[in-house]
Amino acid sequence: MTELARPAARPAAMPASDVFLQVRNLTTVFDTARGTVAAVTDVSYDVRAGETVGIVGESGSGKSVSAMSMLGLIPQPPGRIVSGEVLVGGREIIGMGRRELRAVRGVDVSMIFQDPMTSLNPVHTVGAQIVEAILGHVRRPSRAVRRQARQRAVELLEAVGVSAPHERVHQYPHQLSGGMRQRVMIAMAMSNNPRLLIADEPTTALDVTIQAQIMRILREVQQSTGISIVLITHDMGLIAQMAHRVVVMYAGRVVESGAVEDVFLRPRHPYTLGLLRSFPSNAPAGRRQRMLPIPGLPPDPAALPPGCSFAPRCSLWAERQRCTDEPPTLRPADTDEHLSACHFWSEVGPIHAEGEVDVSSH
Amino acid sequence: MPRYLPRLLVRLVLTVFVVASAVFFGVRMVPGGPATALLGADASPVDIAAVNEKLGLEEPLIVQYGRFLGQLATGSLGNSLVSDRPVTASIMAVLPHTLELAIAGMAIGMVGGVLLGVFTAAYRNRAPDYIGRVLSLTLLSFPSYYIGVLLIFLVALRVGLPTSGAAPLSDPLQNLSQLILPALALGIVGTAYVARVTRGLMLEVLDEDHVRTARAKGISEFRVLIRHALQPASLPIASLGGLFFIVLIGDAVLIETVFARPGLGTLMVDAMLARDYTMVQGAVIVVAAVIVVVNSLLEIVYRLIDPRIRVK
Repeated sequence: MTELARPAARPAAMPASDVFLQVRNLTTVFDTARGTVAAVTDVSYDVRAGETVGIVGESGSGKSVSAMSMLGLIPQPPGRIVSGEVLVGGREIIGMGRRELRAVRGVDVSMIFQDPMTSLNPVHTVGAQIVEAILGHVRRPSRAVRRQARQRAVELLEAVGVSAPHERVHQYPHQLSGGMRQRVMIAMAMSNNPRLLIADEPTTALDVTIQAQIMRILREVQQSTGISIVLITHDMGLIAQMAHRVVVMYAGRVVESGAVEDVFLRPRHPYTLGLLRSFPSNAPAGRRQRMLPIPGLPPDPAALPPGCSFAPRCSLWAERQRCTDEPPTLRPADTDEHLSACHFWSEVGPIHAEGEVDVSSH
Repeated sequence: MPRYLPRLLVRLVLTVFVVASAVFFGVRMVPGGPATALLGADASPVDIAAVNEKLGLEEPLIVQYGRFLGQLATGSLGNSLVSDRPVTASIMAVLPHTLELAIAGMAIGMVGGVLLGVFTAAYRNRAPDYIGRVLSLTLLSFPSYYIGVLLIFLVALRVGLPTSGAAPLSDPLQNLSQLILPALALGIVGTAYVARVTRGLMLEVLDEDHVRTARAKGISEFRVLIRHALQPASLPIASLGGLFFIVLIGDAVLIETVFARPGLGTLMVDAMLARDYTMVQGAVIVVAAVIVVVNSLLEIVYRLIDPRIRVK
C-alpha cells in the first residue's frame, strides 16, 4: 500500500524554511470542580520543516497540554479548546472531525511520551503494536500488506538500534528495558513517515546514559528523514543540545521564544534567566558557577496573580506597579525573531555576573 | 495444558474432601432425620429406630464418616436414604439442566455486562453513561427470583413461552424455549453486576498512558476501546466470571423453584426437606467439583489473556 511504499526520506513538499506547524493563540481550559481553569493561554509558536523546537517550562506550565491539544488528545470533558488555531501542513486541526483527525495522528504528526514503561500496551507484542500503527491507517489491508507491515516493523526496530529485531518483535513490553521500550516508541512513531514528531519528555524517566542514546537516535532519525521535532522538556541542557529554537512557557503562557543561541546567551525574560541559572553548568571546574534556584513555586492555575504571573517570583519586579497591573504580551526583544513577554526585558541581565556561558553546540 | 492437570487433580481432591466432610457433619446437625421425614411426625420412636437401623444411622458417627469417605474414594456417592436409588444416577439425570441454566445465565451476564460496561465507559459522564448506570443499579436491586416472576408475567404469558419444566438437549427447540426465561432471570442481575465492574475497570485502563499512545497512533476509537482497554481489563473481568459462576449455581436453586424446573437446586431442596443425607452430600460434592473445574479452566483463560502471567 501507499503507506508502506512511501520513501523513508520523503521529498520535502515545501522548502526547508517553510513552516510546517503553526500554533496560533491556542487556549485550552479544564472544567474542574473549582471552576474553569486555563491550562494553556494564548499560546503561539511555529515549527519549520526539519527543525527542532524545544518547549521548556516547569511541571504544570502547560507545555504538555499545548502539545496534546494539537492532536486532540486531551480528554474532553473535562478539557476544552476554547480558541486558537493549529495548522499542520496548512490544514486546520482544531474542530476537525474524528475521522480526519485520526488520519493526521500517527501519519502527519506522531508522539512519543515520557514513560516508556507505561506507554506501551502490556498485553500485546511490540511487533503487533507497531504493525497496528501502520495498518490502523489502511482500509481492509490485504495479506500482502499485512506481511509488508510486519516486515516494516522489523526494519523500523533495526533502524532505531534494537538488536535482534526479528526476535524482539515477538516480545512483550515487560521483556524489554526502558531504553529499548523508548526505542520501540520511536520506531512506532516513525512507522508512517510523519513530518512532525512531538516528544513529550522522552528521556525524563530514563537514566542518563540511556538519555544520550535516545537523543542520538532522535537526531539520526531527523537527519535521515528531515522530520520536525517538538521536544517538550524541563531540561535546559537537552534544549541546548537538540533544539534550534526554544519556546519557554510559564503558567500556561509563552514568556519567551527565539533561536536557542539568542535565548541562551541573552535571555530576555527573568524566568528564562532563572531557568538557566538553576541549571548545572558544564563549564570547566575553575569557571563553574553556582546553581541559583528560582524562589517560590509555580502559581496555582486556578488563582493566577494579576498582571504578570511571574511577578511574585521575579528578581526584577521590585514592586513596580506595571508588573501587577498590566499583563505583558509577547513582543519582539532585540530582534524580530526573539520574543519576550516582559515589560522590562531590556533589564534582564546576563546569565552569570561575570565569566562565560557554556552552550553546547549542536 | 497437561502441566495444569496434576494441580487441578490435587485441588479437586482437597476441595471435595473438605466440602464432603463439612456437608457430612452439617446435614446431620440439622434437627430431624430421614426416618421422621419418611414416616411422618407422628411416628413412634420404635419405628424410627427401626428405620434408622436399616439406614445405618444408628452406628457411631465416626464409623458412618469412615464408610462415607471409603465410598467416596471409590467414586460412589451411595444410595438415596429415601428412594434407595443410586445418588449419582439421580444427580446425573438433572445436572445437565442446571449446568445449561448456569452456563446460559453466565453467558448472558458476561456478554451483556461487558457490552454495557464498555458502552457506558466509552460515554463516560455523558447521557448514555448515566442511563446505563441507573439501569444497572436498578437491575441490581432486584433479586433474580423476582425478575423470574416478572418475566413469567410480562413475557411468558404474553408470548406463550412455557413457564415450567425442562427438555433434554436432544430436543433443542423445546429445550431453548424452556431455558430462555430462567437464563434471562439469572443473567439480568449478572449483566448489571458485570457492567458496573467492567465500566470501572475500563475507566481505569482508559486513563493509562498506553491508551494515549494508541490514540496518538490514529487508530479507530473502537479499536482503542476493545484492544487497548477491554483486553487489558479482561483478566479481572474473567476472574469475576469465576465468582459469578459460583453465585449463579446458588441462584439457580431459586430460579429452578420459580420456574418449576428440574435441576440440582430443586433436587437439593427436596433432599434437604426429606433429610436425605446422602442425596444432599452428593449434590453438594458435585457442585463443589463443578466450581473447582470451572475456576481451573478460568486460570487457563488468564494465561491466554495476559502474557505477563504466561512468562512466569
